[in-house]
Amino acid sequence: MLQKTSNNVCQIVSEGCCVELGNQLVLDDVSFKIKKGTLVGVVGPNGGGKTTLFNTILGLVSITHGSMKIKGLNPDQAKGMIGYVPQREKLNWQFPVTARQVVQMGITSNTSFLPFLSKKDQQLIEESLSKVELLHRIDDRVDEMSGGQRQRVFLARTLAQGAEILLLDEAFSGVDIGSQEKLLDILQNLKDDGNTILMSTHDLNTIGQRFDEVLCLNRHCCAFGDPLKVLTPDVLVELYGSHSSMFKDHTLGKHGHTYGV
Amino acid sequence: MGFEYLYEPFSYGFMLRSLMVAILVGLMLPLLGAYVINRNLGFMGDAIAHASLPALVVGLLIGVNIVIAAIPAAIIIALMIGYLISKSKIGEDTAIGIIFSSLFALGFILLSIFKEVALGVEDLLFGQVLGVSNLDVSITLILSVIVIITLLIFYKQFLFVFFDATGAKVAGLRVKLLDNIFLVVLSLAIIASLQSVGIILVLSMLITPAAAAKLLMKSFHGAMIVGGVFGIIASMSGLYLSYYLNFPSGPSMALAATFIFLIVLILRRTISYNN
Repeated sequence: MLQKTSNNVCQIVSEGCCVELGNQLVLDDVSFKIKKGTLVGVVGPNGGGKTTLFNTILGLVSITHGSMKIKGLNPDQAKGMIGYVPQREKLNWQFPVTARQVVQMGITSNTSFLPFLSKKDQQLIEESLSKVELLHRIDDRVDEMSGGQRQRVFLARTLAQGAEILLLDEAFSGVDIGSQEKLLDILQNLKDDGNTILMSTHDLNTIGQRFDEVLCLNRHCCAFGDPLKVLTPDVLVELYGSHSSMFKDHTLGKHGHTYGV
Repeated sequence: MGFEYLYEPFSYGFMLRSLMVAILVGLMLPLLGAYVINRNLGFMGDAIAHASLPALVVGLLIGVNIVIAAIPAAIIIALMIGYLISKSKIGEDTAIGIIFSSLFALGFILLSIFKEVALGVEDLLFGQVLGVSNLDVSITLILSVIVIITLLIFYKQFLFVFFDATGAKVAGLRVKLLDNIFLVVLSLAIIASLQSVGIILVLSMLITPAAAAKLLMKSFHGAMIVGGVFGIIASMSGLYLSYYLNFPSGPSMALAATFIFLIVLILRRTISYNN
Protein backbone atom coordinates (compact mmCIF):
# COMPACT_ATOMS: atom_id res chain seq x y z
CA MET A 1 0.00 0.00 0.00
CA LEU A 2 2.77 2.36 0.97
CA GLN A 3 4.60 1.35 -2.21
CA LYS A 4 1.54 2.23 -4.28
CA THR A 5 1.19 5.72 -2.84
CA SER A 6 4.80 6.52 -3.42
CA ASN A 7 4.45 5.38 -7.03
CA ASN A 8 1.54 7.73 -7.52
CA VAL A 9 3.59 10.66 -6.38
CA CYS A 10 6.33 9.60 -8.77
CA GLN A 11 5.93 11.33 -12.12
CA ILE A 12 8.50 9.30 -14.02
CA VAL A 13 9.37 5.71 -13.17
CA SER A 14 12.03 3.89 -15.18
CA GLU A 15 12.49 0.21 -14.44
CA GLY A 16 15.36 -1.62 -16.10
CA CYS A 17 14.89 0.48 -19.20
CA CYS A 18 17.00 -0.61 -22.22
CA VAL A 19 17.11 1.21 -25.55
CA GLU A 20 18.91 0.08 -28.70
CA LEU A 21 19.66 2.41 -31.60
CA GLY A 22 20.83 0.44 -34.60
CA ASN A 23 22.93 -2.31 -33.07
CA GLN A 24 24.08 -0.20 -30.17
CA LEU A 25 22.78 -0.52 -26.67
CA VAL A 26 22.51 3.15 -25.77
CA LEU A 27 20.62 2.77 -22.50
CA ASP A 28 21.34 -0.31 -20.42
CA ASP A 29 19.12 -1.23 -17.50
CA VAL A 30 18.35 2.31 -16.39
CA SER A 31 16.19 2.56 -13.27
CA PHE A 32 15.09 5.62 -11.31
CA LYS A 33 11.99 7.24 -9.84
CA ILE A 34 11.37 10.96 -10.06
CA LYS A 35 8.95 12.50 -7.60
CA LYS A 36 6.57 15.34 -8.36
CA GLY A 37 7.99 18.80 -7.78
CA THR A 38 11.68 18.00 -8.09
CA LEU A 39 14.40 19.58 -10.16
CA VAL A 40 16.62 16.85 -11.58
CA GLY A 41 19.94 17.38 -13.34
CA VAL A 42 20.93 14.76 -15.90
CA VAL A 43 24.69 14.59 -16.35
CA GLY A 44 27.07 12.36 -18.26
CA PRO A 45 29.53 12.39 -21.13
CA ASN A 46 28.57 13.08 -24.75
CA GLY A 47 27.13 9.89 -26.18
CA GLY A 48 26.27 8.79 -22.64
CA GLY A 49 22.58 8.60 -23.50
CA LYS A 50 21.16 11.84 -22.11
CA THR A 51 19.33 12.80 -25.28
CA THR A 52 18.24 9.18 -25.82
CA LEU A 53 16.81 9.08 -22.31
CA PHE A 54 14.83 12.24 -23.08
CA ASN A 55 13.66 10.81 -26.38
CA THR A 56 12.52 7.69 -24.54
CA ILE A 57 10.53 9.70 -22.02
CA LEU A 58 9.04 11.68 -24.92
CA GLY A 59 8.01 8.49 -26.71
CA LEU A 60 10.23 9.16 -29.74
CA VAL A 61 12.25 5.95 -29.46
CA SER A 62 11.04 2.54 -28.38
CA ILE A 63 12.16 0.55 -25.37
CA THR A 64 13.75 -2.86 -25.94
CA HIS A 65 13.51 -4.14 -22.37
CA GLY A 66 12.10 -2.83 -19.13
CA SER A 67 9.59 -0.03 -18.81
CA MET A 68 9.21 3.71 -18.62
CA LYS A 69 6.05 5.12 -17.05
CA ILE A 70 4.97 8.75 -17.05
CA LYS A 71 2.24 9.29 -14.47
CA GLY A 72 1.62 5.57 -14.86
CA LEU A 73 1.27 5.76 -18.65
CA ASN A 74 3.49 4.52 -21.44
CA PRO A 75 5.46 7.30 -23.15
CA ASP A 76 3.43 7.23 -26.36
CA GLN A 77 0.20 7.56 -24.36
CA ALA A 78 1.71 10.44 -22.42
CA LYS A 79 2.53 12.52 -25.52
CA GLY A 80 1.47 16.11 -25.03
CA MET A 81 1.71 15.83 -21.22
CA ILE A 82 5.41 16.56 -21.31
CA GLY A 83 6.85 19.95 -22.17
CA TYR A 84 10.05 19.83 -24.15
CA VAL A 85 12.70 22.51 -24.56
CA PRO A 86 14.88 21.38 -27.48
CA GLN A 87 18.58 21.98 -27.96
CA ARG A 88 19.01 25.19 -29.89
CA GLU A 89 20.91 23.39 -32.67
CA LYS A 90 17.83 21.31 -33.43
CA LEU A 91 15.75 24.33 -34.40
CA ASN A 92 15.54 25.89 -37.83
CA TRP A 93 16.51 29.48 -37.03
CA GLN A 94 15.97 30.56 -40.62
CA PHE A 95 12.29 30.97 -39.72
CA PRO A 96 11.72 34.43 -38.29
CA VAL A 97 9.44 33.51 -35.38
CA THR A 98 8.41 35.82 -32.54
CA ALA A 99 8.10 34.90 -28.86
CA ARG A 100 4.33 34.98 -29.28
CA GLN A 101 4.50 32.48 -32.15
CA VAL A 102 6.79 30.09 -30.27
CA VAL A 103 4.54 30.09 -27.21
CA GLN A 104 1.53 29.67 -29.46
CA MET A 105 3.06 26.43 -30.72
CA GLY A 106 2.41 25.02 -27.25
CA ILE A 107 -1.32 25.19 -27.92
CA THR A 108 -1.11 24.12 -31.57
CA SER A 109 -2.50 20.67 -32.15
CA ASN A 110 -3.71 18.63 -35.07
CA THR A 111 -7.16 19.99 -34.49
CA SER A 112 -6.58 23.73 -34.09
CA PHE A 113 -6.96 25.12 -37.59
CA LEU A 114 -6.95 28.58 -39.09
CA PRO A 115 -4.28 31.12 -38.17
CA PHE A 116 -6.44 33.14 -35.79
CA LEU A 117 -6.33 32.93 -31.99
CA SER A 118 -9.13 33.31 -29.48
CA LYS A 119 -8.92 35.91 -26.71
CA LYS A 120 -8.47 33.11 -24.21
CA ASP A 121 -5.48 31.74 -26.10
CA GLN A 122 -3.93 35.21 -26.38
CA GLN A 123 -4.29 35.59 -22.63
CA LEU A 124 -2.72 32.21 -22.00
CA ILE A 125 0.27 33.15 -24.18
CA GLU A 126 0.72 36.41 -22.29
CA GLU A 127 0.45 34.73 -18.89
CA SER A 128 3.01 32.10 -19.87
CA LEU A 129 5.48 34.71 -21.05
CA SER A 130 5.03 36.77 -17.92
CA LYS A 131 5.88 33.71 -15.80
CA VAL A 132 9.29 33.64 -17.48
CA GLU A 133 9.51 37.45 -17.23
CA LEU A 134 9.54 38.08 -20.96
CA LEU A 135 6.11 39.59 -21.53
CA HIS A 136 7.72 42.85 -22.64
CA ARG A 137 9.38 41.02 -25.54
CA ILE A 138 6.29 39.19 -26.78
CA ASP A 139 6.52 40.51 -30.35
CA ASP A 140 10.30 40.36 -30.64
CA ARG A 141 11.97 37.74 -32.76
CA VAL A 142 13.37 34.81 -30.84
CA ASP A 143 16.41 34.46 -33.12
CA GLU A 144 17.43 37.96 -32.06
CA MET A 145 17.26 37.16 -28.33
CA SER A 146 20.10 35.98 -26.10
CA GLY A 147 20.59 32.28 -25.40
CA GLY A 148 19.03 32.52 -21.94
CA GLN A 149 16.02 34.45 -23.17
CA ARG A 150 15.43 31.90 -25.93
CA GLN A 151 15.36 29.12 -23.36
CA ARG A 152 12.84 31.07 -21.31
CA VAL A 153 10.59 31.57 -24.33
CA PHE A 154 10.60 27.80 -24.85
CA LEU A 155 9.84 27.29 -21.16
CA ALA A 156 6.84 29.56 -21.63
CA ARG A 157 5.79 27.32 -24.51
CA THR A 158 5.70 24.29 -22.19
CA LEU A 159 3.66 26.31 -19.69
CA ALA A 160 1.10 27.30 -22.32
CA GLN A 161 0.91 23.63 -23.25
CA GLY A 162 -0.14 22.92 -19.64
CA ALA A 163 2.67 20.42 -19.15
CA GLU A 164 3.66 19.53 -15.59
CA ILE A 165 6.74 17.56 -16.57
CA LEU A 166 9.38 19.65 -18.30
CA LEU A 167 12.43 18.32 -20.15
CA LEU A 168 15.24 20.73 -20.99
CA ASP A 169 17.94 19.43 -23.32
CA GLU A 170 21.31 21.14 -22.76
CA ALA A 171 19.55 24.30 -21.72
CA PHE A 172 22.81 25.95 -20.63
CA SER A 173 24.65 25.59 -23.91
CA GLY A 174 25.47 29.06 -25.21
CA VAL A 175 24.02 30.73 -22.12
CA ASP A 176 26.24 33.01 -20.01
CA ILE A 177 26.56 32.55 -16.25
CA GLY A 178 24.26 35.44 -15.31
CA SER A 179 21.53 34.16 -17.60
CA GLN A 180 22.03 30.63 -16.26
CA GLU A 181 21.27 31.92 -12.76
CA LYS A 182 18.17 33.71 -14.04
CA LEU A 183 17.02 30.54 -15.77
CA LEU A 184 17.62 28.52 -12.60
CA ASP A 185 15.59 31.05 -10.58
CA ILE A 186 12.69 30.62 -12.98
CA LEU A 187 13.02 26.83 -12.86
CA GLN A 188 12.95 27.06 -9.07
CA ASN A 189 9.66 29.01 -9.24
CA LEU A 190 8.16 26.51 -11.66
CA LYS A 191 9.25 23.69 -9.40
CA ASP A 192 7.63 25.39 -6.43
CA ASP A 193 4.42 25.54 -8.48
CA GLY A 194 4.51 21.72 -8.58
CA ASN A 195 6.25 21.10 -11.89
CA THR A 196 8.72 18.26 -12.29
CA ILE A 197 11.78 19.31 -14.23
CA LEU A 198 14.58 17.33 -15.86
CA MET A 199 17.49 19.18 -17.36
CA SER A 200 20.53 17.71 -19.04
CA THR A 201 23.68 19.72 -18.47
CA HIS A 202 27.45 19.59 -18.59
CA ASP A 203 27.83 22.04 -15.75
CA LEU A 204 28.59 20.02 -12.63
CA ASN A 205 29.15 23.12 -10.52
CA THR A 206 25.53 24.23 -10.39
CA ILE A 207 24.24 20.70 -9.76
CA GLY A 208 25.05 20.53 -6.07
CA GLN A 209 23.69 23.96 -5.27
CA ARG A 210 20.57 24.22 -7.34
CA PHE A 211 19.26 20.74 -8.13
CA ASP A 212 17.33 18.39 -5.84
CA GLU A 213 18.57 15.26 -7.51
CA VAL A 214 21.12 14.23 -10.06
CA LEU A 215 20.95 11.39 -12.56
CA CYS A 216 24.39 10.28 -13.71
CA LEU A 217 24.17 8.58 -17.05
CA ASN A 218 26.87 6.77 -18.97
CA ARG A 219 24.88 4.17 -20.91
CA HIS A 220 23.72 2.89 -17.56
CA CYS A 221 22.64 4.81 -14.52
CA CYS A 222 25.87 5.34 -12.54
CA ALA A 223 24.15 7.11 -9.70
CA PHE A 224 20.87 8.75 -8.84
CA GLY A 225 19.89 10.83 -5.84
CA ASP A 226 20.87 13.85 -3.78
CA PRO A 227 23.79 15.46 -5.63
CA LEU A 228 25.59 16.21 -2.38
CA LYS A 229 25.68 12.49 -1.64
CA VAL A 230 25.98 10.74 -4.98
CA LEU A 231 28.53 12.84 -6.88
CA THR A 232 31.48 11.02 -5.39
CA PRO A 233 34.91 10.79 -7.03
CA ASP A 234 34.13 7.16 -7.93
CA VAL A 235 30.98 8.16 -9.77
CA LEU A 236 32.83 10.91 -11.61
CA VAL A 237 35.45 8.40 -12.73
CA GLU A 238 32.71 6.09 -13.92
CA LEU A 239 31.08 8.94 -15.81
CA TYR A 240 34.06 10.60 -17.40
CA GLY A 241 36.58 7.74 -17.44
CA SER A 242 40.06 8.63 -18.59
CA HIS A 243 39.42 12.34 -18.20
CA SER A 244 38.62 11.89 -14.56
CA SER A 245 41.98 13.32 -13.49
CA MET A 246 40.33 16.66 -14.18
CA PHE A 247 38.09 15.97 -11.24
CA LYS A 248 40.77 14.67 -8.91
CA ASP A 249 40.20 17.42 -6.40
CA HIS A 250 36.59 17.86 -7.31
CA THR A 251 34.69 17.11 -4.16
CA LEU A 252 31.55 19.01 -3.47
CA GLY A 253 32.03 22.52 -2.29
CA LYS A 254 35.54 22.38 -3.69
CA HIS A 255 35.60 22.41 -7.47
CA GLY A 256 39.26 21.70 -8.01
CA HIS A 257 40.04 25.38 -8.00
CA THR A 258 43.54 24.70 -6.74
CA TYR A 259 44.36 23.85 -10.37
CA GLY A 260 44.33 27.35 -11.64
CA VAL A 261 42.46 30.60 -11.38
CA MET B 1 -3.01 59.69 -70.52
CA GLY B 2 -0.53 56.95 -71.11
CA PHE B 3 -2.52 54.57 -68.96
CA GLU B 4 -4.04 52.85 -71.94
CA TYR B 5 -0.77 50.93 -72.17
CA LEU B 6 -1.74 49.29 -68.89
CA TYR B 7 -5.32 48.30 -69.67
CA GLU B 8 -5.42 48.25 -73.47
CA PRO B 9 -4.00 44.67 -73.72
CA PHE B 10 -6.89 43.31 -71.69
CA SER B 11 -9.48 44.16 -74.31
CA TYR B 12 -8.41 40.84 -75.84
CA GLY B 13 -9.85 37.65 -74.39
CA PHE B 14 -6.53 35.82 -74.45
CA MET B 15 -4.88 38.61 -72.47
CA LEU B 16 -7.60 38.50 -69.81
CA ARG B 17 -7.04 34.77 -69.46
CA SER B 18 -3.29 35.30 -69.24
CA LEU B 19 -3.78 37.99 -66.62
CA MET B 20 -5.81 35.69 -64.40
CA VAL B 21 -3.26 32.89 -64.64
CA ALA B 22 -0.37 35.32 -64.06
CA ILE B 23 -1.97 36.74 -60.91
CA LEU B 24 -2.77 33.31 -59.50
CA VAL B 25 0.71 31.98 -60.18
CA GLY B 26 2.33 35.15 -58.91
CA LEU B 27 0.44 34.84 -55.64
CA MET B 28 0.57 31.10 -55.05
CA LEU B 29 4.27 30.39 -55.65
CA PRO B 30 5.69 33.04 -53.28
CA LEU B 31 3.27 32.03 -50.51
CA LEU B 32 4.79 28.55 -50.65
CA GLY B 33 8.18 30.12 -51.27
CA ALA B 34 8.12 31.71 -47.80
CA TYR B 35 8.40 28.19 -46.36
CA VAL B 36 10.60 26.88 -49.17
CA ILE B 37 13.41 29.42 -48.71
CA ASN B 38 13.54 28.83 -44.96
CA ARG B 39 13.69 25.07 -45.36
CA ASN B 40 16.15 25.11 -48.26
CA LEU B 41 13.64 23.28 -50.43
CA GLY B 42 14.37 25.28 -53.60
CA PHE B 43 16.16 22.41 -55.27
CA MET B 44 13.19 20.18 -54.47
CA GLY B 45 10.84 22.62 -56.22
CA ASP B 46 13.13 22.73 -59.23
CA ALA B 47 13.20 18.94 -59.29
CA ILE B 48 9.42 18.55 -59.20
CA ALA B 49 9.12 20.87 -62.20
CA HIS B 50 11.79 19.09 -64.26
CA ALA B 51 10.67 15.60 -63.35
CA SER B 52 7.15 16.29 -64.59
CA LEU B 53 8.33 16.48 -68.23
CA PRO B 54 7.60 12.82 -69.12
CA ALA B 55 4.08 13.21 -67.74
CA LEU B 56 3.53 16.32 -69.86
CA VAL B 57 4.64 14.45 -72.98
CA VAL B 58 2.41 11.47 -72.18
CA GLY B 59 -0.46 13.88 -71.55
CA LEU B 60 -0.01 15.41 -75.00
CA LEU B 61 0.24 11.96 -76.59
CA ILE B 62 -3.07 10.76 -75.19
CA GLY B 63 -4.69 14.14 -75.68
CA VAL B 64 -5.26 15.13 -72.07
CA ASN B 65 -4.71 18.66 -70.81
CA ILE B 66 -1.06 18.64 -69.85
CA VAL B 67 -1.65 20.16 -66.43
CA ILE B 68 -4.14 17.43 -65.57
CA ALA B 69 -1.72 14.78 -66.82
CA ALA B 70 1.12 16.20 -64.76
CA ILE B 71 -0.75 16.52 -61.44
CA PRO B 72 -0.71 12.84 -60.37
CA ALA B 73 2.84 12.44 -61.69
CA ALA B 74 4.10 15.43 -59.75
CA ILE B 75 2.43 14.32 -56.52
CA ILE B 76 3.99 10.87 -56.85
CA ILE B 77 7.40 12.39 -57.59
CA ALA B 78 7.18 14.78 -54.63
CA LEU B 79 6.21 12.03 -52.20
CA MET B 80 8.86 9.73 -53.61
CA ILE B 81 11.55 12.38 -53.16
CA GLY B 82 10.25 13.08 -49.65
CA TYR B 83 10.48 9.39 -48.81
CA LEU B 84 13.97 9.06 -50.28
CA ILE B 85 15.18 12.07 -48.32
CA SER B 86 14.12 10.49 -45.05
CA LYS B 87 15.57 7.07 -45.95
CA SER B 88 18.53 7.67 -48.22
CA LYS B 89 22.09 7.29 -47.15
CA ILE B 90 23.45 9.13 -50.17
CA GLY B 91 22.28 12.58 -49.09
CA GLU B 92 19.27 14.73 -49.97
CA ASP B 93 20.70 16.67 -52.89
CA THR B 94 22.07 13.54 -54.48
CA ALA B 95 18.78 11.62 -54.16
CA ILE B 96 16.81 14.53 -55.59
CA GLY B 97 19.39 15.09 -58.33
CA ILE B 98 19.31 11.51 -59.57
CA ILE B 99 15.51 11.35 -59.80
CA PHE B 100 15.08 14.73 -61.39
CA SER B 101 17.79 14.47 -64.02
CA SER B 102 16.75 10.99 -65.09
CA LEU B 103 13.05 11.86 -65.43
CA PHE B 104 13.90 15.07 -67.30
CA ALA B 105 16.11 13.00 -69.64
CA LEU B 106 13.32 10.46 -70.09
CA GLY B 107 11.00 13.30 -71.09
CA PHE B 108 13.31 14.36 -73.90
CA ILE B 109 13.80 10.80 -75.10
CA LEU B 110 10.00 10.43 -75.28
CA LEU B 111 9.83 13.66 -77.26
CA SER B 112 12.35 12.34 -79.76
CA ILE B 113 10.51 9.04 -80.15
CA PHE B 114 7.03 10.52 -80.56
CA LYS B 115 7.80 13.22 -83.09
CA GLU B 116 4.07 13.66 -83.75
CA VAL B 117 3.71 15.36 -80.39
CA ALA B 118 3.15 18.95 -81.40
CA LEU B 119 4.89 20.59 -78.55
CA GLY B 120 6.79 23.81 -78.42
CA VAL B 121 9.72 22.68 -76.34
CA GLU B 122 10.66 26.27 -75.77
CA ASP B 123 7.21 27.10 -74.42
CA LEU B 124 7.41 24.17 -72.09
CA LEU B 125 10.82 25.11 -70.77
CA PHE B 126 10.32 28.87 -70.56
CA GLY B 127 6.56 29.26 -70.36
CA GLN B 128 4.06 30.93 -72.65
CA VAL B 129 1.32 32.48 -70.63
CA LEU B 130 -0.30 34.11 -73.67
CA GLY B 131 -1.41 30.71 -74.93
CA VAL B 132 -3.58 29.63 -72.01
CA SER B 133 -7.10 28.35 -72.72
CA ASN B 134 -10.29 28.73 -70.71
CA LEU B 135 -9.75 25.22 -69.37
CA ASP B 136 -6.23 26.19 -68.25
CA VAL B 137 -7.63 29.19 -66.38
CA SER B 138 -10.19 27.02 -64.60
CA ILE B 139 -7.61 24.42 -63.64
CA THR B 140 -5.19 27.06 -62.35
CA LEU B 141 -7.97 28.69 -60.38
CA ILE B 142 -9.01 25.40 -58.74
CA LEU B 143 -5.41 24.48 -57.92
CA SER B 144 -4.70 27.93 -56.45
CA VAL B 145 -7.77 27.74 -54.25
CA ILE B 146 -6.66 24.33 -52.97
CA VAL B 147 -3.11 25.56 -52.32
CA ILE B 148 -4.14 28.79 -50.57
CA ILE B 149 -6.81 27.17 -48.39
CA THR B 150 -4.37 24.45 -47.35
CA LEU B 151 -1.76 27.06 -46.42
CA LEU B 152 -4.33 28.97 -44.42
CA ILE B 153 -5.63 25.92 -42.55
CA PHE B 154 -2.22 24.51 -41.70
CA TYR B 155 -0.41 27.81 -41.19
CA LYS B 156 0.35 27.20 -37.50
CA GLN B 157 1.12 23.52 -37.97
CA PHE B 158 3.52 24.07 -40.87
CA LEU B 159 5.37 26.78 -38.95
CA PHE B 160 5.69 24.54 -35.89
CA VAL B 161 6.82 21.47 -37.83
CA PHE B 162 9.34 23.30 -40.01
CA PHE B 163 10.78 25.37 -37.15
CA ASP B 164 10.95 22.61 -34.54
CA ALA B 165 10.21 19.13 -35.89
CA THR B 166 11.06 17.32 -32.65
CA GLY B 167 8.99 19.71 -30.55
CA ALA B 168 6.07 19.22 -32.93
CA LYS B 169 6.39 15.44 -32.68
CA VAL B 170 6.45 15.70 -28.91
CA ALA B 171 3.35 17.90 -28.95
CA GLY B 172 1.59 15.09 -30.82
CA LEU B 173 1.53 16.65 -34.29
CA ARG B 174 1.66 14.28 -37.24
CA VAL B 175 4.92 15.57 -38.62
CA LYS B 176 5.28 13.11 -41.53
CA LEU B 177 1.73 13.71 -42.70
CA LEU B 178 2.13 17.50 -42.52
CA ASP B 179 5.42 17.24 -44.42
CA ASN B 180 3.70 15.24 -47.14
CA ILE B 181 0.73 17.62 -47.33
CA PHE B 182 3.20 20.44 -47.89
CA LEU B 183 4.99 18.52 -50.64
CA VAL B 184 1.67 17.77 -52.36
CA VAL B 185 0.54 21.41 -52.40
CA LEU B 186 4.02 22.43 -53.53
CA SER B 187 3.78 20.09 -56.50
CA LEU B 188 0.25 21.26 -57.33
CA ALA B 189 1.42 24.88 -57.37
CA ILE B 190 4.44 24.08 -59.50
CA ILE B 191 2.41 22.18 -62.07
CA ALA B 192 -0.18 24.95 -62.20
CA SER B 193 2.62 27.40 -62.95
CA LEU B 194 4.39 25.47 -65.70
CA GLN B 195 2.49 27.10 -68.55
CA SER B 196 3.28 30.62 -67.49
CA VAL B 197 6.82 30.33 -66.14
CA GLY B 198 7.98 27.07 -67.68
CA ILE B 199 9.86 24.14 -66.22
CA ILE B 200 13.20 25.85 -65.88
CA LEU B 201 12.04 29.13 -64.37
CA VAL B 202 9.41 27.98 -61.87
CA LEU B 203 12.15 28.15 -59.29
CA SER B 204 12.57 31.85 -59.85
CA MET B 205 8.96 32.72 -58.99
CA LEU B 206 9.03 30.27 -56.11
CA ILE B 207 12.00 31.77 -54.30
CA THR B 208 12.88 35.26 -55.56
CA PRO B 209 9.78 37.23 -54.44
CA ALA B 210 9.81 35.34 -51.13
CA ALA B 211 13.48 36.16 -50.61
CA ALA B 212 12.88 39.85 -51.36
CA ALA B 213 10.03 39.88 -48.86
CA LYS B 214 12.17 38.19 -46.21
CA LEU B 215 14.71 40.99 -46.54
CA LEU B 216 12.02 43.56 -45.98
CA MET B 217 9.72 42.09 -43.33
CA LYS B 218 10.37 41.17 -39.72
CA SER B 219 7.59 38.65 -39.26
CA PHE B 220 6.96 35.42 -41.12
CA HIS B 221 3.34 36.11 -42.02
CA GLY B 222 4.33 39.63 -43.08
CA ALA B 223 6.97 38.16 -45.38
CA MET B 224 4.39 35.73 -46.77
CA ILE B 225 1.93 38.49 -47.66
CA VAL B 226 4.54 40.87 -49.11
CA GLY B 227 6.06 37.96 -51.07
CA GLY B 228 2.63 37.36 -52.63
CA VAL B 229 2.37 41.04 -53.60
CA PHE B 230 5.88 41.00 -55.11
CA GLY B 231 5.00 37.82 -56.98
CA ILE B 232 1.88 39.39 -58.52
CA ILE B 233 3.84 42.50 -59.53
CA ALA B 234 6.55 40.35 -61.11
CA SER B 235 4.17 38.12 -63.01
CA MET B 236 2.10 41.04 -64.32
CA SER B 237 5.25 42.85 -65.41
CA GLY B 238 6.27 39.69 -67.22
CA LEU B 239 2.89 39.62 -68.91
CA TYR B 240 3.28 43.17 -70.24
CA LEU B 241 6.80 42.46 -71.48
CA SER B 242 5.48 39.37 -73.18
CA TYR B 243 2.67 41.30 -74.85
CA TYR B 244 4.52 44.40 -75.96
CA LEU B 245 7.99 43.04 -76.68
CA ASN B 246 7.06 39.47 -77.50
CA PHE B 247 9.44 38.13 -74.86
CA PRO B 248 8.78 34.64 -73.57
CA SER B 249 6.72 35.03 -70.41
CA GLY B 250 8.81 32.88 -68.06
CA PRO B 251 12.08 34.76 -68.47
CA SER B 252 10.25 38.10 -68.32
CA MET B 253 8.60 37.18 -65.01
CA ALA B 254 11.86 35.78 -63.65
CA LEU B 255 13.79 38.93 -64.47
CA ALA B 256 11.03 41.15 -63.10
CA ALA B 257 11.24 39.20 -59.83
CA THR B 258 15.01 39.57 -59.75
CA PHE B 259 14.64 43.30 -60.42
CA ILE B 260 12.30 43.61 -57.40
CA PHE B 261 14.77 41.64 -55.30
CA LEU B 262 17.64 43.94 -56.28
CA ILE B 263 15.64 47.08 -55.52
CA VAL B 264 14.73 45.72 -52.07
CA LEU B 265 18.33 44.69 -51.45
CA ILE B 266 19.68 48.12 -52.36
CA LEU B 267 16.96 49.90 -50.36
CA ARG B 268 17.73 47.81 -47.32
CA ARG B 269 21.45 48.31 -47.60
CA THR B 270 20.98 52.07 -47.95
CA ILE B 271 18.58 52.28 -45.02
CA SER B 272 20.70 50.22 -42.65
CA TYR B 273 23.79 52.14 -43.80
CA ASN B 274 22.14 55.46 -42.98
CA ASN B 275 21.01 54.29 -39.57
